[in-house]
Amino acid sequence: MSRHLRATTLAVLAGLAVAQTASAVGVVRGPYLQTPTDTSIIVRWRTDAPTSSRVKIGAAPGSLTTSFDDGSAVVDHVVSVTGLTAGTQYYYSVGSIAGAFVGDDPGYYFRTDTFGLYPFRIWTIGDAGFPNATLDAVRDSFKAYNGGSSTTDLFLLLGDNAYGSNLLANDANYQTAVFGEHAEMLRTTPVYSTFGNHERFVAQDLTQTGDYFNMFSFPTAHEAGGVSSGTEAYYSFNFHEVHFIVLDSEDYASSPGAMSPMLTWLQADLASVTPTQVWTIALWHRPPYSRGLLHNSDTEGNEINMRQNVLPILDGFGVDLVLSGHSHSYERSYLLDGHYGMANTFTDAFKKDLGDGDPDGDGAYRKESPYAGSAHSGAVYAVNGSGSEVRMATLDHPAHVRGLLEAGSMVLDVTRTTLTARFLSSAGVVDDQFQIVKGVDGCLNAPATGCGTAVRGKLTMRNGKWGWRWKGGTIDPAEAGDPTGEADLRVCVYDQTGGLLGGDVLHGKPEWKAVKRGFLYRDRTASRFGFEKIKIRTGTPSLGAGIQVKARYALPSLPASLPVVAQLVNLDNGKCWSSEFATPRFNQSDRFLAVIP
Amino acid sequence: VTLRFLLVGRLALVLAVGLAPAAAFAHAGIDALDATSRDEVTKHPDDPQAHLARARVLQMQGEWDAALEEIEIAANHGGDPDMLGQSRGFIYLEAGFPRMAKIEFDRVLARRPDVYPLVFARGRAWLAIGNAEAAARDFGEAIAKGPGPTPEQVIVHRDALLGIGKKEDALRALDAGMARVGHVVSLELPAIDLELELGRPDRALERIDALAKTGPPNPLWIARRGEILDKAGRGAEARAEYEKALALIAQKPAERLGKPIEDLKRRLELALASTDKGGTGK
Repeated sequence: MSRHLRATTLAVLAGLAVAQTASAVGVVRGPYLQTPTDTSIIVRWRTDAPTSSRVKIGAAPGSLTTSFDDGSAVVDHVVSVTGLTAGTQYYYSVGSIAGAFVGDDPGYYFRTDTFGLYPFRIWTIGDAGFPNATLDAVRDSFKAYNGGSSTTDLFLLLGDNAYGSNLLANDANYQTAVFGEHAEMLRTTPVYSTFGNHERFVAQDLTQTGDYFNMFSFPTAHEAGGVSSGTEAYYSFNFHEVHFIVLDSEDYASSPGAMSPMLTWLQADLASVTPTQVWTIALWHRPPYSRGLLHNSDTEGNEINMRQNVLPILDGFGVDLVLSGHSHSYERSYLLDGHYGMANTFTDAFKKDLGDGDPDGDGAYRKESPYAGSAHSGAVYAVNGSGSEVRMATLDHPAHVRGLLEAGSMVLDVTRTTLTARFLSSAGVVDDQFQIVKGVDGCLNAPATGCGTAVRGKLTMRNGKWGWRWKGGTIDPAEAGDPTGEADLRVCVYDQTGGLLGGDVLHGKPEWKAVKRGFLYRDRTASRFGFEKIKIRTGTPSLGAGIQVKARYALPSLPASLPVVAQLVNLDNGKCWSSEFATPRFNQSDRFLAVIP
Repeated sequence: VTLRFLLVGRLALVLAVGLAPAAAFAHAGIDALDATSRDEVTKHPDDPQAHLARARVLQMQGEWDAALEEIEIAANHGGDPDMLGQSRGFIYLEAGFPRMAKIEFDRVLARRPDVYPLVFARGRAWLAIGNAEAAARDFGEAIAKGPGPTPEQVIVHRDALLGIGKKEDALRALDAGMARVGHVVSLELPAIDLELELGRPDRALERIDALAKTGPPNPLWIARRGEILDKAGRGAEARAEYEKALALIAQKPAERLGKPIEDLKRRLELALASTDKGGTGK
């Protein structure tokens, strides 16, 4: 019997009792949303008595015109809503074929995914299993931070999502700690989760049995992108241009010899990330770097296995961010690459950037490639496990730049070029933030303002070469930063139509070296934005402070639209030094020369 | 429906609890669980569930005798015999008494033959006893009929058969697994290896093609296709595949080539150079 016919038959059998049935049955869990794609989403809910399932959708409350039915009488309802339009908001209701139970009002809607829709926001919590006042405060602080709305684009649970008094992540405790606490958000925000050790107490990843696997519908057959994993214990999906990898840190990373199925899949999945993806975010429960109370990544086997067997694969494919929980605290690393040993083997050599990644501090972490998958470009590791409790600990793992003994959650704001992560405390305070910037913009933006000036300057553009000198001003060494360490610089020439020449020169490149009172960049092949030489000498005019740039580049179309501005910007702190040329000696189709004074 | 749901759910819960090896829980969180389960037993001395939970914690700590004692207390307070039997079975299995475990599993399965995760667990007991054929039978049944078989279970099934030299059966086990799990890379790649070991490159190629359909174009699969053709002495076709894989790699910016892909690229270039010299790239 076809599903439609079966559904129709049931409806007929229900007869005149339709309205009564609809109103008598209660929704005791959800609805909640899973596995969103650009054309589909899964809607789940639980009723207090077995009924058929119907999701109705439409463009506005009161206009739900399309139905998706399942005639089987169940208490746990799972309905795939398909044939949707990308990037579209739909309102919905859930119920039986006899009638709707809840929804069809402004509080019940979802939005389909769409490639290229930016910016978007992710809320993520870990170890949020105690349904207590702390969890309430963590949840409410996000709502307040989010403009008074619980709705966001994705909700990520980092495992140990429910404890209860017996510390078991079973159905009853999930009912309270997840489906009760977050009911408002779950109605409008798709949720994904990873498998924690407390889920492991009452569910089995080997057989996908137990409460955890019964209550979620994660993609296992590349329904939402990625490569089929065949199991909900680990899986991948795409959301906008972000590729997400969800791993199982409980049982599957301990195969030093032959690759476990999870690791075989992981490598294939990352190898297939398409050139259009921008970000890769991985999440699993047990942190590879942590010094939380009772959870030390040097002594717990699963953490060691993840670090030794999984991280080399992730580094090889340039994963950007790894989110974990387990330790009931917040710890956040530098931008790291290549550290798989114990904490006492960690040195600065494993830091891709010596700074804190805070755009208001040492400056954002920058990656040259604008796409996902740039090998060994560094990843930030965040332990976000204080969703409902904080446990006192030393938090002194050297991989981490920050350790906080505060209850809270993380908010990720993602655009095509920036990923900004904030730790939001239960008091509603952002106590840590970091940013990863993808790609160099090649002077596409407008010139910076408020820059330091010099009494002398010279700009030449001719015969495929250009040069700029800035002299007679002051450059504070602290403001100039250290490009051999962490300072990312931008050297650009602009006219009134926009950027003409130059680009970003990121820190740590081997072409940089420290010289007396400054730094020198030398590249005889001029392979990076054509820069042959950048010399920065700090201090005062009397100490010879100045900037000297020599570069080769395909020259822009001249004459330039005046005035022309040449400038050096420290991207990490926004400090800049600039020369403005309003009256050039030559401004012709093949030559530009301007001198100040 | 509700009753069945609850029953299956409870059995699954016990299964999950019992199956977990103690090593997986060798972490400090066990202290908190230990205290909690102790409190629960003190507060609810007549509740069989509290004693079962306590047994579970003791099992995690490797306290086998104490765990079995808690199960007996649960039995004295009217605990579900199937759940108690399974729990005992898992403790015996983990404690290194597979024959005792199998007896417990047999008892439960005689009443509830449809609890397939338990059939899989009995397979593990058979394997520990040394009867790989019986183990493989249970694994196969559990995977074919169980609610959500996983790649890991299929690999266990394959390994049981390979352990007794049954490559054809191992291949069939992988196929039967994929019929349930899907054509996932973690099963299709071992199947390709087995096809090649069994001297069937054409079948291996068909599998590669099936794998290629499960995701976006992947240079790993194209390269593997070339290598299979190469080993089969079909140099010209192999060369075409190598070139195709290199072209796909070339679409990625240089800085995006991680070590695995860089290694692959080098391997492909060497293979191409070898075929250039008139031989195969083997």
